[in-house]
Amino acid sequence: MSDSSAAAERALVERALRGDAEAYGQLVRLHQGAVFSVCYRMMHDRAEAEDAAQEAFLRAHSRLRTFDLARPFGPWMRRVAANLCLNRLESRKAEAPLDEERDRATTGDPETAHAQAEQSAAVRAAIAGLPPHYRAVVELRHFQELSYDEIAVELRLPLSDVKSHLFRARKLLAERLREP
Amino acid sequence: MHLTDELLNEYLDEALEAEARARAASHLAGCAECAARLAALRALFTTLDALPEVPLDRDLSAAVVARLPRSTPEWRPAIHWLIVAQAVAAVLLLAFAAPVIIGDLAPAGVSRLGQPIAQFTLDLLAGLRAQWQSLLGTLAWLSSQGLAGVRAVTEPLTEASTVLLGGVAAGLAVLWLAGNGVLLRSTLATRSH
Repeated sequence: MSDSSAAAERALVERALRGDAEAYGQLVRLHQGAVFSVCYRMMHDRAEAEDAAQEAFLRAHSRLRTFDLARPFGPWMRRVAANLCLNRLESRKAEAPLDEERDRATTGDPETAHAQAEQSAAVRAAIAGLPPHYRAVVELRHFQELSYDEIAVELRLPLSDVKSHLFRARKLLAERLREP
Repeated sequence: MHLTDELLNEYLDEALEAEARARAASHLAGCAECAARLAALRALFTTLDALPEVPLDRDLSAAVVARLPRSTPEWRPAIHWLIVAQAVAAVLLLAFAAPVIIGDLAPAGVSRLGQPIAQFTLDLLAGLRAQWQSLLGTLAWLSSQGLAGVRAVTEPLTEASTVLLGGVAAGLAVLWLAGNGVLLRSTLATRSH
């Protein structure tokens, strides 16, 4: 992010803090794609991910005074979303049926595109099959690139739990992705 | 002895101290089995990194903005202080009304209190009442000077019985305190726990 766009984003947060709803709407438009991606990886269902993304923005707004203006808004917002999804997964009694949506092709070659989509679907299904806390550590480590210490703070877990969750999650993912 | 899974994970996550990382790297250079396990783990990292983002098909901003609370976080402290100021005003109103009620309506009840604290309170409240009488006197003098607007305000005040005014003031104060939950707050907090 360039200095000017960082300054513009900070100005939006400051306006939102003063009660400017339109400024917060602009922040939502800037970050909704990334926040939705977090929610989709965690929830594995488009409708639920959209709902969780909206809820995450509302939760972030209610906690906006705790946001450090010296830092970029995006990573903070994605962590709020990951935490909210974790809360939802933990409170969910029964697993909802998985969204079988296929990833869109990123290449022009139909065969390669099909293979890519199949692989992505398999990875998403494998992540969705993990217990909630395992999903959260995978999201925060692999997709938000937080350190072990940062994950421990974010999820309020002991460092040893973060490590063990992450290692077990990876082991489970590797096993599931090896399955035919 | 081979490297543990935990060590391999921390190696790839770059979470090892420099010395431990150097030892692991040295072992990996000479151990085909550990190097193969590390390669398998690295392949999983690559697979996760390659997962494409799923595009969002609709704009969520309007729905989010519509659900934002009307009072913004910035305004909350001001509202908080406004409530405190109102509560103080209500307590003062009650303090004005108390001597009227205690002194004029229930002298027998006051004597039964018979405690120094009650006496101190009554003295304090009597002082407040004297201030009120002084204010009424000032308003009456202004009224006698021919100020019609002042007369319109003071005439009902001086004509009405002080007891009645005290009763109304006490009623308003208690109504405000109860209406805003100040009197019930501790009870509600206990229930919610």
